[in-house]
Amino acid sequence: MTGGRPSRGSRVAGFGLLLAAALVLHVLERFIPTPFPFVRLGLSNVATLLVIFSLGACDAILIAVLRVTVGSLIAGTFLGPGFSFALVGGLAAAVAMAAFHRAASPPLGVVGVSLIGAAAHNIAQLAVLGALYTGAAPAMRLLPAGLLLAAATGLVTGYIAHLALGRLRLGPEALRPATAHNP
Amino acid sequence: MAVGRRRLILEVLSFAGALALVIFLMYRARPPTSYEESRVAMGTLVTITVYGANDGAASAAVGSAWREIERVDSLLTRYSRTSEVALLNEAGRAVVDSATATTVARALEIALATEGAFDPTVAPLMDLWKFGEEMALPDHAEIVAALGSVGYARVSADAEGGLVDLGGAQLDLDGIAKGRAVDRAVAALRRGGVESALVDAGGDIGLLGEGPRHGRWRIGIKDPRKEGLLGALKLRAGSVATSGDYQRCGFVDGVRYHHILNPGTGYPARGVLSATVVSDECMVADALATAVFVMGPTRGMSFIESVESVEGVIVSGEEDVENVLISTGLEDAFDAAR
Amino acid sequence: MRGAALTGADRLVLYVLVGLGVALLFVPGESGESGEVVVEGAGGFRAVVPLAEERTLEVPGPLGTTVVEVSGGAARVASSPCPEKLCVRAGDVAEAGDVAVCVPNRVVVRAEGHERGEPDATSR
Repeated sequence: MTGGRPSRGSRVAGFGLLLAAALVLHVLERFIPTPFPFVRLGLSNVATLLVIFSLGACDAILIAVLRVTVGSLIAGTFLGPGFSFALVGGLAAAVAMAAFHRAASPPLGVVGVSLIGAAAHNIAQLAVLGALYTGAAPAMRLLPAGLLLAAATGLVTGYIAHLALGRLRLGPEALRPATAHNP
Repeated sequence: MAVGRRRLILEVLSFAGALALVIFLMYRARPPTSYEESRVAMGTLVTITVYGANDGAASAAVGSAWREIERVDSLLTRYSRTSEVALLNEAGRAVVDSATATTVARALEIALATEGAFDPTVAPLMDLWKFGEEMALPDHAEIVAALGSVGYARVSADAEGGLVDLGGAQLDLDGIAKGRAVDRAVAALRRGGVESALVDAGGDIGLLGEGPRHGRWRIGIKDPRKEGLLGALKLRAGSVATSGDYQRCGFVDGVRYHHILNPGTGYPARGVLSATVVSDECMVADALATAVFVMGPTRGMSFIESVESVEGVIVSGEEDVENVLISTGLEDAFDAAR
Repeated sequence: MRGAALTGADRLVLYVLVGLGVALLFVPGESGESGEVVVEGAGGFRAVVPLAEERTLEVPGPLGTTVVEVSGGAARVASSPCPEKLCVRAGDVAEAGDVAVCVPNRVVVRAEGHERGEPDATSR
């Protein structure tokens, strides 16, 4: 990665763009059916992923929280039953992804981070399910399914993010002001 | 690139192989399959559990076990008009089925060995005591009168010929019949090709073969006063029976009166809350559990220690648990619950 | 950040995740507390009630109706037309192996499931 930080302006623009994308994903994700009410697949983590790999960890967590709160305001589910699932899931994913990205990112690529995020997302949602609704045992019994599902969704979101990062040129180098090196 | 592709294939294969190995190991470690049937019989819930056999074979063997249980019940129960025990009690002396005669003979042996603490002739006393919500104490004079015909020494039984002479006494084999039924059920399962099974007749337990926990069985002992277990026994084989003052009882003026009567006094035996006996035969364990209960903690435990193939646990006390006595042979096998 | 879609480290994460998921599939489930209760009566009456529910069952039998109540995570016989009421005094049925039986009225209430920590049978 060649030196130079992205300019302030392009960061703000990037942030706004990614937040918008995240909001759209969040609102639309409700329409994908899942076996349990209010438990979501976590596909809007694509947005969080893109943020981590372009803008950085703190922004990622911020966008995750904003995505859920503003997104649910838009969708009309704010503070509704699914809200806690979405918030806990999205936040857990963002924190886990940010942490692993910070710690292990040269060897760990987009898909790896995405898998970790998906796992964290599902585990967190199962925890909410167990704590607020069904009690520990049924939630524990769903854990294997949650992990295997995370493997699948993590691969998918990771690959989508990978493609997006390449195509949309959202990597840190893409957010630098245009120079001779960077058409 | 050829190298890249080969590496990829190698990776996928090793991943698949590792996954297959994990799945295989986990499959091996899964809990053992069991086949279970429950029925109400002999006045209680009887559950037969077969381990490790396929459902068809297990079901056939269990069917024959039920038939044995029903047969023992129909012969030995006091409460049917056609049972052999009822007919014997009616006639006073008769030739009966060799199974019945054998059971009576064994009951008499145990009565002799326990000096009458277990006595199969307590029928008249049992008839005087009605346990339940609204309970009234029987008249003392009636108890004394009933005691007049109690005494195992009056009875003679010829196991081979089948002749049983009650000598004026009346038979009550309830304290030994369940145990005998369990033994016969276990034998039927063994004949049916079953290698590992457990028969539980209202707390009288018979074990066949090796248990599902690495060859051992884990048998709980109910706490006589609280919900849950007093502890559990790790056994390789044998039978377990418990006599407890909580099984059939009633309260009069705040005092508990239970169904384990002292054949000498006609009143419920005191000093013990529950007695659990482990022995090879469930029939023996059943009768001895009653006998040990009547003997009391000291005499009961020294009796247990004096017989080689018998072990036991006695919970002593008047109304609350005072002490839990464990025979030497069970010390390593007993895990207290608390 | 261009380059291969799936790095070596990524694969490792994938293997671990899938491996854990599969491994956990074979861990025996707990069925102690949050289990179910089977209530059986004469004439083929059979009901399976999750212990998490609150329900009252009226079980018909030769002597009359035995009332079985499920509440607070346990089942119990609330009333029964038998003389000795042993079934009522049997107490709560909640953990695997617990049972309450009314023999005269032919009603059985038992907790399903076999937990690792529970004994194979209990002498009582």
